[in-house]
Amino acid sequence: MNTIKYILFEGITSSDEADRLSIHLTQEYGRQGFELVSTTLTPEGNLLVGLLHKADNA
Amino acid sequence: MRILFLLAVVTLGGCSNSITFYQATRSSLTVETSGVDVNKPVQGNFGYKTRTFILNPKMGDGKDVMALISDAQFNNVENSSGDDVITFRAALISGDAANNLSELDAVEAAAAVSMAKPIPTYSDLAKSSLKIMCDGLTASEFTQTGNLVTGTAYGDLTTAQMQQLESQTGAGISNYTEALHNELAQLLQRGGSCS
Repeated sequence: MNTIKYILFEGITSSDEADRLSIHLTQEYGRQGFELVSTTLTPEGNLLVGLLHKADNA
Repeated sequence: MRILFLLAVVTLGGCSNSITFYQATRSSLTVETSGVDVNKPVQGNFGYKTRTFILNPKMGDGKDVMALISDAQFNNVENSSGDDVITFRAALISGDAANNLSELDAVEAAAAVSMAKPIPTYSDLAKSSLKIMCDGLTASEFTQTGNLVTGTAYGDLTTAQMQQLESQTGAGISNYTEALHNELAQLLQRGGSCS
């Protein structure tokens, strides 16, 4: 079964924060086999990130 | 106390296939005192009303509608001036991202939209890099990479060295930044190790 993990991050206001988020997602989730599939900006300015982990037989 | 009133209207896409998400929240506070009996306690009532509606178009053969997940959170927090501020937070997940959710994923998505996490600092990321190095490198590889980080300025790294650090720190392609390099070097110089 494919799994999607959703994480909400506090508002991104600079390229420096975007860099840190990119490193964090790669370090924490890229090595576990997750790939970025969706990003949604909420009305409060927070960023909802969707990460997909495909099942081995998918 | 300040009352925060939130009105959000989000319209996505074109005219025929657009989603309209509308949410409005009102809150009110009533405080009553007695001018006759001063011993009578002050009475107050606080209430709020929220209204949400979504215009969701049909898809494909007209039998399906686009999947949507919406969640909201009501909070009383203190701002930098010390005032209590009431906030109402909402988020929306739509389309394939929502459609592909399993039951457990939906629970996780709802939890995610209710609680935002701060973006890690470079100090946090350097600690993560150190742990990834400890988990993935032999002792001699760790020493070699540690010396590379502490002994080489970011601008002097060769392409091969950059690729090595992108991989060994888990930062990923093009993600090994100067700020991470400097923070990791400081961590190692302060005695950061695998023990």
